[in-house]
Amino acid sequence: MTSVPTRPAAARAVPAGRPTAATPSGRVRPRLRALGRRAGSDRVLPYLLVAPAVLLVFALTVYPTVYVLQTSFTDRNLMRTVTRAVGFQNYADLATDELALRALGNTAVFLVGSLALILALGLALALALNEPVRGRTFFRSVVVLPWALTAVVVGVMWRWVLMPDIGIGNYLLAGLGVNISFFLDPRAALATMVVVEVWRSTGYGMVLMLAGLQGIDAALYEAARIDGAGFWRALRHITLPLLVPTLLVATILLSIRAVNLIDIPLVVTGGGPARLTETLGLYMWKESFAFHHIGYGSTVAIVMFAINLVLTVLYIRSLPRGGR
Amino acid sequence: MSIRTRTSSPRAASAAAAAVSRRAVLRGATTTLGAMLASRKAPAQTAGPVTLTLLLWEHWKVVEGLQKNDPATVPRRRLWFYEIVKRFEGEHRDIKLQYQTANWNVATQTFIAASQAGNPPDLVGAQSQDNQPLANAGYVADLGQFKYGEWDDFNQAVLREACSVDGKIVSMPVYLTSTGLGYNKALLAQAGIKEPPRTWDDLIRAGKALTRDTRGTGRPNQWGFGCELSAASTPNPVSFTMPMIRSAGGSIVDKDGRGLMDTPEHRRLAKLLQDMYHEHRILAPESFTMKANDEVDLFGAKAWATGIVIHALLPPILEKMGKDAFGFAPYPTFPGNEPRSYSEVYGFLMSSRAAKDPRRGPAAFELLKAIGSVDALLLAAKYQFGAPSRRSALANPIYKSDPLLGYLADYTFKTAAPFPFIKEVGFYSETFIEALNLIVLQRQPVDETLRRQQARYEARLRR
Repeated sequence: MTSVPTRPAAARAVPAGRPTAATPSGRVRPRLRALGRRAGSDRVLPYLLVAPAVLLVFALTVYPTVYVLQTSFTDRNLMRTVTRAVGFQNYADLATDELALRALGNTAVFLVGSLALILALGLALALALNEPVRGRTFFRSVVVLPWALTAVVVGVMWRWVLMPDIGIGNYLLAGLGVNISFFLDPRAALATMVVVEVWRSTGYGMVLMLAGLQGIDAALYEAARIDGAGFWRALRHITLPLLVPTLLVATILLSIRAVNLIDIPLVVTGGGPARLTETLGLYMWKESFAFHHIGYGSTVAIVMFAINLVLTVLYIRSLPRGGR
Repeated sequence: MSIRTRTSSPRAASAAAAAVSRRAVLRGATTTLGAMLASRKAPAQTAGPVTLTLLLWEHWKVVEGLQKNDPATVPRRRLWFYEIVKRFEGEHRDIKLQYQTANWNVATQTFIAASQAGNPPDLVGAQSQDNQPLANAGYVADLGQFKYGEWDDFNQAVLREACSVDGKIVSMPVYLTSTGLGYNKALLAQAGIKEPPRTWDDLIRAGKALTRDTRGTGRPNQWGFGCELSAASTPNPVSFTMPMIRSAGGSIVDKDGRGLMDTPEHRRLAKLLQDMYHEHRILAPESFTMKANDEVDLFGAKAWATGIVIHALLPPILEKMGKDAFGFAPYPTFPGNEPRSYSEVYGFLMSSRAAKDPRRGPAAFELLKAIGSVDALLLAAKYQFGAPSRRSALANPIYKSDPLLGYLADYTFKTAAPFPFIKEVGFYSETFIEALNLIVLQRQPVDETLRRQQARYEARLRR
């Protein structure tokens, strides 16, 4: 077996007239020490380069998370000057809190509904706009446009469109003989929130999947076509298996957004009617900032963090071993 | 720098020199650190301008105009504040003003967060219901510590109930506004209604005539009555229904600050709203989905023919509909009851930190005096239909120059009461609004729902 040089020969060659690394007596010359220092710095340099990013992550993510965890074991209230440690009392209260459990149920409905629709529509649009159709760039931009809008703007817009008396959407539907109380019936209100989120985030899902589709070798489709596979068989046996890593990333990102969601429910329904459309994120926000119970709100935040963590681990573990 | 030491040998001398050198460095560093800490504790009393920071509501839209000296960018109804601040700046060249803004429903939280971080704004604008918790938590100062001889001129009920905590004045009130029944004059005339309804029975009769499907879609789009009852506009539904409870002889709070919702008056209110929605079909569904201040658009779009409105919204409503198209009547009552109102008392508070500063405290109080001055009230009357919070202002001819303004000033003085202090007010409001939503939209039984919600609120108080 031949040995493989680790550095190019030119790089290893010592320039003419320059001192060699060691004298015949074996004593290390200063230049070699410099080289040693450089090698040492080569070991240190990567750490120095990533240090700012690591420090930022610690300052902006790890420290706040630990702080929230610590706060969740207290009765901290912004309107009180004394804070006491309460152990697991907040967690025990949360486990029996009817409103929190309802918010958890709403979050689950929102998560499943929005995730399924965004992934399905995003994939369909990605497949369509991956083809060399006319005006492809224009259509891609149009689909992505809602994602570029702030969620609050999207929420306000849809709220105005669907308002019972003066909303243009309701007016047009009433003209067709369809009367839906979008925000008065809690089930319709929850479904409306899902639709608003799907409208906003489908473009994002499409972009992720488009990137995944473009990474699939066209030769595979060509071979499948020669073997007589049609669109559906190619989708099932080539596209979907090779798109699994992309789908996983999209699923994790969209799930985290759905679990943490505050903006859409806050703007579209405010949690109403009768607090029946509150999600965990909105519940946490209300406890922390409307009722000033930072300790209890932190407990809800930790539970949301745990849900995200468990979901992410489940998604990753659900992949076939080769796909991880 | 060479350091002389007594040594027995050169090596020992070198070691000693190094040791002394380290000691000297440590001593120097300690001295420097001590000096830095001391300078933090006692800031140098330097001459020169004082800079004050004000936290204002974002929707006032005054900051850009104040910073650029451009009143054209300020909404007309906020010009009273612009003019008072500019006048103050002209008279106090040594006081510089900086501004922060926050959304109205998180302004208090923003102030609290800044207070906890040790850097609160010097002055903050807030609604009266926030005063007590802010004072109890020690975030705001007792304004009584500053020399001021005009407190007696203020409406004492407002000063006592809305601006004081445990007998200490913590908020400088500005103008007052009150709730009443707003109505579209043209729609009432079309329906043959000559006078705005005074009682709930009148209102139900009028509401039936006013509720109409003008688009022919099979669903009314013009409603006889509307009122903020939405979770999205918390806590307004509490303050907007409070006059109904008060005029019937009830209260929304007991003497210990415990919020009430399971009372005979609350049951009567809930039943009335339920009937208005299901039996009489005059209560606008938008009432349960709207956000604060949507009244402007709902009246403007003729979706509401009548509705409960706070008179602070009159300027934009009149701007949209025309001055003669909109009327403001007393809050309806049950037969035999006197009308009552809720008065929004907006005031400015000083942070405890600013009050402790020997220069910023008095400077901030100078600004508070300007904001609470009679001149400010007269400007608020001119631009905002603001009712006066001071007796000496009430006598001013400006309130007689416009019948609506005069009526509002008189009505507010006679009928209005500020939002009382309620323990866990946020949770109380949400729980009460939830009850109304369940009773009206889901037709849940009145007595049982109010009892359950009251119990839930009290469980929270115990927690």
